[in-house]
Amino acid sequence: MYRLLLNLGIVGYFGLFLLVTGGLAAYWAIYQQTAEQPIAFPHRVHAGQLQLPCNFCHRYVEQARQAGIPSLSRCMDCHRSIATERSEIKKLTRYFEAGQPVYWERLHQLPDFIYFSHKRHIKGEIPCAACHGEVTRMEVVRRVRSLEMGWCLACHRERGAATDCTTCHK
Amino acid sequence: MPLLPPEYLPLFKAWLVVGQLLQLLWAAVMVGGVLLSLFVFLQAQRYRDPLRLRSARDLLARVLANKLLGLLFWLLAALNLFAVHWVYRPPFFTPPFWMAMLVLLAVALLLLFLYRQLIDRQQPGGVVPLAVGAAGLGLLLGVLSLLACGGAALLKPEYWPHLQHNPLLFLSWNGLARFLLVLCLALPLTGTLLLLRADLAARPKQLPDYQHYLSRRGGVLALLGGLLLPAGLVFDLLTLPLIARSLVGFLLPMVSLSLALLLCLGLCRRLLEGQSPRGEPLLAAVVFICLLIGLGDFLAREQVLADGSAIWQQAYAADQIAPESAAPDQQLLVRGEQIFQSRCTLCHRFDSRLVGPPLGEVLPNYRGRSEALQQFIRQPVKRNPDYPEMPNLGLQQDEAAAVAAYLLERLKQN
Repeated sequence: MYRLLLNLGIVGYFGLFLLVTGGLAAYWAIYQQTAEQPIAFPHRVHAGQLQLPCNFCHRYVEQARQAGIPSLSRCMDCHRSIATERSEIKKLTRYFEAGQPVYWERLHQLPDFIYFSHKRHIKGEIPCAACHGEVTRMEVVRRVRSLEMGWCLACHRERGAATDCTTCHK
Repeated sequence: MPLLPPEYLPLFKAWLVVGQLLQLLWAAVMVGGVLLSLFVFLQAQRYRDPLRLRSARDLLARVLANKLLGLLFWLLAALNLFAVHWVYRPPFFTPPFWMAMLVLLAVALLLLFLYRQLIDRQQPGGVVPLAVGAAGLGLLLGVLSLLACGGAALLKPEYWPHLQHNPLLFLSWNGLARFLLVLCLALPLTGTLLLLRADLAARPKQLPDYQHYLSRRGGVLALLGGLLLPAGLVFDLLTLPLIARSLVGFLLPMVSLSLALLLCLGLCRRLLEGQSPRGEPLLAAVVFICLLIGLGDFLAREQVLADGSAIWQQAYAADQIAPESAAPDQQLLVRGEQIFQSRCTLCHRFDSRLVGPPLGEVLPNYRGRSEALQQFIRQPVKRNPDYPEMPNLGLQQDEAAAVAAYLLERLKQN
């Protein structure tokens, strides 16, 4: 009886940790894992090989808080004649002709209580790669920075930028 | 220092997995062995017990077998640091950092070997051996905690540029979790060591008391380590940066947990029945758990530093650039053609419309007006409503000059 209870205790103890690990994995898979994009847009080709500047597509990065997702007509400017035989471009053309928006999966989502302005950071000459990583080398863009408050503060302190709470928590 | 070609990168990565596994096992055994020997030595002095003194000496003879192995451990650490530097090139792995690590590790090993010499004496009384052993162990733990923090810092590349101004950012919860995980592994490994030694002591059938003493303590230590391991693994997972997480990264600890559960149940059964647990299967299981932990760490690094190989290739390419030998004018044209081919040909041809207009039609407007062409290349404006606006490619003045020179030269030839 004593041994049975002891064994049950050990199984329960490990089961608890297995449950926590499984729960963490499930939470990550459901809420934190990046879903597949509707069109496999290769940043490596556009920003890497062709070296198109970021603001060629993300047009509002210098003028607004949001960098902006390019409109489909922007894509079609070039892809009416370039690589039209490729499946992903055909997909893009179908969206464009049907007048449907592409619902891209958002990767860099700050919480609602954070005020962040791309314009300010571009003015401060922070390179895009500082927060978004080397997208020029990524076939599929992933989040490669934690976007944690400690990191923001480290950079703000180092550059002498405002560290007042209301700067980001308006 | 010249770089090796990128083909060697997988070799370095494979070495990192093997090398870190070896070092993790070795360091855990060393930490556990020395810690236990200090404890047992203290008890031996207190109770004047020759069995405990013998056990302390035996343990040290196993974990600090000879100075050559100590040197090998140090070389392994140096090789691993070198491999991390070459594969991921973190800017905080500066020569002062890794030299300080290696010097501290060397001092720690020297102190530990001195401790072994002191304890091996006929009458190892006094506090000197204890003080030397504690100092060596403390230093070794210090180095290991810094290496654990270094491993955690590899998973946070966004902090790298700020470490120079704020070195405290080097310390992290994940670094602490990794350090505690090493301590958790030190217990079952030391327990295994005792069990293996107990097997040896049992063979001549001359030392039954000693064999019993070792096997009981070895079994209890291994059980304790097995019970602490889940907490260490989950703490590591909880503090792992979000961007380093992956499905396999969760599955590996779950396999480790299941294996540790089976180990603990087996150990518990044998201890309750008064039997001596077997050392070999325990060792195999703990090594396998260490391998899973090492693989998880490697996958997390690959997940976060996916462009690491590209950085390496870029550094290699920069290293391989030969000095220019062409004449200045020719050099300008060659450079202009290179930039044109890589940046402009996607939208432009000389004789046909693509995205932009045929260059043969628009370039004559710039004949003899190189500066105007350069100005347009650097700051394009929409002129023809039949074509989309040309993007600003962000070319520098010298790059625009090279492209303009090449285009006007090509126009002349046509």
